[in-house]
Amino acid sequence: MPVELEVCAYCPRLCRHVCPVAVATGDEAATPTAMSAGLLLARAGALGEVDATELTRLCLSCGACTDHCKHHVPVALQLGRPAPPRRDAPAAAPPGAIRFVPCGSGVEPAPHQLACCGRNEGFDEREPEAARRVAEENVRRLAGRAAVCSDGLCTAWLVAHGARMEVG
Amino acid sequence: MDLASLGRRVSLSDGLPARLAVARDLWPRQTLRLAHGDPGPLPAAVCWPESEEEVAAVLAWASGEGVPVVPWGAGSGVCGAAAGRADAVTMDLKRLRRIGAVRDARVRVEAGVLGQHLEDALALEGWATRHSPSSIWCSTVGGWAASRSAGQFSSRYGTFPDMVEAMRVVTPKGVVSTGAWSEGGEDLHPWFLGSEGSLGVITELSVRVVPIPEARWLRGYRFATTEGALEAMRSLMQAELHPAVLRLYDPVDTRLAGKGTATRDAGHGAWLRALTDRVERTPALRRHALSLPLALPRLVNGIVRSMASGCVLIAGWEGPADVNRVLAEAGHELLLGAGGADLGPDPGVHWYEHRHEVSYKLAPVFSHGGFADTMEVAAPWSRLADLYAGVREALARHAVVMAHFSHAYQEGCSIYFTFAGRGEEAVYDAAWADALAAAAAAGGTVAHHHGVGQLKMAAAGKELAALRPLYLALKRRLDPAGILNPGRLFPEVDTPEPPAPALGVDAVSRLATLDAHAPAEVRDRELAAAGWVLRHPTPGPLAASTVVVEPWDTAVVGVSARIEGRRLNLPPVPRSAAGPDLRRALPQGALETLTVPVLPAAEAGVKVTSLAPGVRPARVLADGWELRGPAASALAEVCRAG
Repeated sequence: MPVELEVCAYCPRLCRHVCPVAVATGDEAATPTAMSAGLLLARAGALGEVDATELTRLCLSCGACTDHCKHHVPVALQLGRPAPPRRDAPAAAPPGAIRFVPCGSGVEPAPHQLACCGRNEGFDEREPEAARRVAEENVRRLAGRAAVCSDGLCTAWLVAHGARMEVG
Repeated sequence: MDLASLGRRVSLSDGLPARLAVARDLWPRQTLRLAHGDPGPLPAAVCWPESEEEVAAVLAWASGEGVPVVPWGAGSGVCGAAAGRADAVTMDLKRLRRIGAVRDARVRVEAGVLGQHLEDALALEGWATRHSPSSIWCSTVGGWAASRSAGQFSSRYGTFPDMVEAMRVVTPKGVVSTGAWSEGGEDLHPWFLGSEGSLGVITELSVRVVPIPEARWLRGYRFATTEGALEAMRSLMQAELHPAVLRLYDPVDTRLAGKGTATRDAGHGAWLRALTDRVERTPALRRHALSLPLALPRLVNGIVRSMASGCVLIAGWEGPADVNRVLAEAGHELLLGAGGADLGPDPGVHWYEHRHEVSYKLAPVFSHGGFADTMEVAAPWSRLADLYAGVREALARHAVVMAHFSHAYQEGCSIYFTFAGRGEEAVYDAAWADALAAAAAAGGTVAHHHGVGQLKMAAAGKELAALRPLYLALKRRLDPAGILNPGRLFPEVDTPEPPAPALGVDAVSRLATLDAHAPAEVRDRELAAAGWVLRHPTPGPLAASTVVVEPWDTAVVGVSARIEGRRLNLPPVPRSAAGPDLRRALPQGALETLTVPVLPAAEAGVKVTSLAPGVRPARVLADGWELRGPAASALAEVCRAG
């Protein structure tokens, strides 16, 4: 068992303010600390029969937590999620998937990959049905591209409401 | 429990990930249990209200169902106040996250905003709270108020409760506006600050802000002894020099944490780091690396203390450039004169740049088979040495311990103990039981800024024992079904009635304990005969005082009162967080004595008729302000030039 998983599980959530999903949803379950603790308990058999991927699905592999962490723990990898995008040379996401890239991360996708998440085109999380339509349309529109997003709001909203999002 | 009904009123999850994530806050006892495979008590569900109305709807549902509600900010509390309960719904407030524009040096902010996000938003407009707890990345504004948080610059700006001007609080019986937003009559502001979610749910606050400091000055000093350094700290705080930062690391903390140097790879610690690096690369060793040293705390404490010599003080000032230069130069001279050796700016700058990273050091202790925790107590200067010795010796029986002194005020200071022990609950519990008893025996408060929670509820309950009837009466009025975070504040404790405090002056702490009802002329004449004057001139009896002080200042430090026939002593300690602070909110008729700040009558002052920004007077007079201390003349020049 990687010791880093324990370091995250016992960490006082020092990266929670940079996690776009945790910020957008307000859900503690999205924090690396909570996901690491859950996985640690699941692997120890303390949670009974549980699908461990359910505990970690809110991680979008954006790498913001690793960038912030003083220990540089590779959070996404140890949670069994895909590796975060390389900061110097982002690859195109495979078809049908979104690569989530927070603004300010230093990634500069190629022009053909670049797309806006569309939050400013009508997304309002307080209107759930309209928000779902806008966000789902964005998911289709962005498939195979690198999405540059200021706060991950609609992506995070979709994930929080059960969307499966395989990150490239 | 009809969760379907609740789900129609508010966003809700009863899934395992959401419940698991709020089963524990950051109480290290729960982290220790996690390390042993115990997830903690999972609540029945988590809900995320997005408005004051939704908070009210949740409380109405819970009152009807008889379901406890645990308000949750970001779960950074270290005493178990927000930990999950199996029979409860946890109310996560982070979707209350609106931040208003700054108006008249106040910002209106919702309770679920994370501290760092508030500072980031304010900085865009040139403002800051300067409330800087080490938890700023993982705590919320509402949580700061509910647990009486204090930040690293509290010496200059006060604690967070000092900054909160008004609140909106939702209770099961309706919405209450407090402080500047109260609509006359009873003001429950002091009750909600420190109520830890047990009286109402704080939803919105008005917080005082300041311009981002124009200048900053940081420096380190080495002192030969802790006692000498503490005396220098006290002199500095009582010289009206108002530093933003004053942190003294005891010899063990100085030695272990390398506070004396900016680069940690040089010197005697290099061999130890080489050894620990080797252990870190060997997983089989790593898990047990701390087993032996933590199992023998007395031995390790003895060795470390014998190796340690000297201690480091970090001092810092910030504010308008002209005022900052005057204050820092005077402070620098004072510290050199008190025996401090100048270490240059590096220790201070290093601390400032890494001031939110200390908690990174705690997690690895758990993964190495131990526990790590911190304890923050406070006392007036006259009792500080006894408090330090008593708590340190109590903890050292069970754990390896070091300490630093921070959150210094004119009347006293906080001590922050960091300790690590063998990873067993029995060891953990014994360390805390002995340390809390030692703090109380030394006359300190058991909480300066971590709040109460489950960890300290018995000890804090004894400290505030006579307040319990008032608390219970208010609780019944606001929360008749008893659903708000029940059983975690003001437990029933058996403690004897304390004696009346002795009247007189504590010259070291510059505090006078006086008859609350003595006529002003008699009180002031007797004080003058003893060589003192009130810091805050008060025309009538102290019990009737309506003196309003600045957020960084304090008008009443201790109180003795009679509540429902029983004496209550709120001890003269600086900025206690042992529950709601009612030092200025008890009924006039109940007061017996008040402990208030005093100044030497013979000390010369300089009167000014206008104040430059950043200049703080020693006394507010009817026709101006009085400046005191070694910087008074230079500050008066700044005021006149302005």
